[in-house]
Amino acid sequence: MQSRWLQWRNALRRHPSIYAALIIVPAAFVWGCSRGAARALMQQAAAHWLLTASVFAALCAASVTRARARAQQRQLHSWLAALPVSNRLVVAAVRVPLLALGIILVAVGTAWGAGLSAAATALLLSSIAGAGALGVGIGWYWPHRQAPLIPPSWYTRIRRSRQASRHAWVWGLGTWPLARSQVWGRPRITARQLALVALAMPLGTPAIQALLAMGAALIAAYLLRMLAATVRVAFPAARWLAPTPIGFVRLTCALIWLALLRQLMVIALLLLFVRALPLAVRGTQALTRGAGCWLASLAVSVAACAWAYARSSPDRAALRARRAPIQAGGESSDAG
Amino acid sequence: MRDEPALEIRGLRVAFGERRVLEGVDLTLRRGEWLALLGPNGAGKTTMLRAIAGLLAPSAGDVLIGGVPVSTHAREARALLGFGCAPEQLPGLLTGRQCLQIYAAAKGLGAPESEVIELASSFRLDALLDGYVDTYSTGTRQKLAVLLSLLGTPTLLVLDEAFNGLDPASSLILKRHLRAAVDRGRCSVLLATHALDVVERYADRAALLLEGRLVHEWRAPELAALRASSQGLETAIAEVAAAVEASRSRS
Repeated sequence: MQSRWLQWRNALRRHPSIYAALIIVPAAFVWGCSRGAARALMQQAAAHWLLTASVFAALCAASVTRARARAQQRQLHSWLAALPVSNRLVVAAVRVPLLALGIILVAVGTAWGAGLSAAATALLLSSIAGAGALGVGIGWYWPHRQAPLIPPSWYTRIRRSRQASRHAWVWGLGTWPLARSQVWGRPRITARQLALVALAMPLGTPAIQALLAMGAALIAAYLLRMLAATVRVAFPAARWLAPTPIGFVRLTCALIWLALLRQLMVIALLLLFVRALPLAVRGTQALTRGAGCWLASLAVSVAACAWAYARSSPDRAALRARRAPIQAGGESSDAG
Repeated sequence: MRDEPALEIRGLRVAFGERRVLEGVDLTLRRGEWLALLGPNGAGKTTMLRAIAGLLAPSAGDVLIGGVPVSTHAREARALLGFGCAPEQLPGLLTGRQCLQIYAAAKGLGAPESEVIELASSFRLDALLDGYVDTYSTGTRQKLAVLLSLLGTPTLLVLDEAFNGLDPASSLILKRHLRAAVDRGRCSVLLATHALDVVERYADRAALLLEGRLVHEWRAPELAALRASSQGLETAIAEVAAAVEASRSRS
């Protein structure tokens, strides 16, 4: 019995988000809703208990089915695949219904404290508990489609991926700077940046100003990160594609279009935001500054691509200038 | 242009500052021929391949791919070239499928050829193509690098240690695929390698590069004789290297 309990506790420890969610979400709910509103809501739910229970059962069934399929897919690749279904898999499958149940329990408790009748409370709790159990049972035992099996082995058959897009698409290169930017913008790094901004603010700064400063810092960091990622990626991209006949213009456009589009969207949103704020910078001035920032980013990105392109294969610049053509064959079209 | 050799190198010299890596290399590779480039570490094999692909500026000499000079008509020459980049140069933050799509577009194709997609399937790579290259093992990256080099049906395929890290089954598939492509006359292969079994069984010629010079060449009958003999290519290389060393010390 004790070992069983320890197994469950260890399984739950691997999912600390459940504990956090069970505390934070209901607390936020209670904080956000007045007791009167909670009572009115629960009264409505109790009046339509069958509908409430059906919706909850459907939610549980769908969630458990999906989670179970995902967990089984992971289990297939685990070195523990031969073992029976583990507690960890069960916990992973039922954590969403548990979370939903926790929220509902808190809401019902709040409503009961605000004067919800005992009969309505009992009806609601029993219907929710029954529907939850039914939904989890259906979701767990419902026969679902076998997940595609991709064993890392030479000696078994594998299924081919069905989402194979076979079109050549050079514009996909634009996702490289975005990925690099996301790597640099991990939550841990962003949190450190925000901490620095917070430390730089003098004591007694009004909350709205502090929030604005942090927002501005976040946006500036995002724009700079995107620019730095484009510059950083330009060199390996040019080196990687150097043995192909891709030209400078095509390489540059393919590499920077998505990052510049993101920057443009962020700047446009920022301008819209600025218009709604009581700041000194307004209207045409803000638009000019935003456009200036974007054009500067464009210029830096293009310059980085040009440098990277020239460096990636030295024959492009140095050789042609230094050496006479070997064969008569017209103009070289390497200019791209 | 059809009768031009797949690769012609005339007096190629490459130097890094004071250090001369290649010293007047001359080489011709006919269409439908597989040449293995042998040599100890630091002999200049990779440098030679990079100079052929136009990734290095030679100090002197000319490189012509399919009759097109790399120095003056780089884009036209590169359209005829398939270059197997080093696995660590692959973009880690793109997926394998994105790499294929981008490389195919950069080579001016509408889509990666079905032959390359089928080869990816034979490599058991298609299930991994939607993962980031950063998550690939060395062998998987090597497979992807080879697939990229095969895009666009190149006249000249330049591969540097292309069998490194490949599992035996994939290695065999690749050897047979390359041999079939060479036999059909569709491409020529220049392979820098230390895998002597590949050279003995699959290559048409082998050239030994020592200290930046091509010092010896074995043709197909000689390779067949070495394969049949108990001596093998390994001993033959050692003997040639010793002879070269002795002649240098005498002079």
